[in-house]
Amino acid sequence: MDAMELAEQKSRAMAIVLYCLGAVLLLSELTGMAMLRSDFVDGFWLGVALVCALALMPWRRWVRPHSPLSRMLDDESVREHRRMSCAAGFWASLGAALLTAPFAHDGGVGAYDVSRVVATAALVAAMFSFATLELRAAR
Amino acid sequence: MSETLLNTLKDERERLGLTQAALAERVGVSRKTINTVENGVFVPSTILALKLAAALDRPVEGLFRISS
Repeated sequence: MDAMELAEQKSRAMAIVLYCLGAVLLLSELTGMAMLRSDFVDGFWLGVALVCALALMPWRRWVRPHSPLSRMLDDESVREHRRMSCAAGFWASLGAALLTAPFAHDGGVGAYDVSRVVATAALVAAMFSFATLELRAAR
Repeated sequence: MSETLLNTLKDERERLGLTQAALAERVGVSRKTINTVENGVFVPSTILALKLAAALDRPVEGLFRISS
């Protein structure tokens, strides 16, 4: 298998991982909000959120900047997709913040819950849009 | 007035009998990038446009043109 095929395979696998991570993050947030408020669920959400944020970064280029595979996995179109997905995450977080602000104002929702909703919206929107753009480009 | 970048990348690539992967390898990008440029989804940087022109042995203005 040459570097080109390996890059395609890894890129597709990463897109699927991003979908899965987004779904797990969303589920843990909903679980924490609706049913189970425990230290474990809170810690789990925080751990998954950190992994999600890390997954969106071009860490492969930072770790191995001169590897041809790393360059292929972070070329122009991937950087463009990352920029577009970060913009999608920004708008999702803004929307989530504006939607939850009235509830927080009335004291119904605490600051911790609002920050979690905003972070979850931003990460899920960014990951889903990045994964979708990558898979669409690979067709 | 909206302007779009049209290209003849696919025709030129096929003229040389290259696959998207082969052209991507020549230029040093992923096949996704070639695919998105060919489909007009992604507007390449000047550097990439020049690399593509060199790889296909065509002037860059022969590969890309603006359509309004």
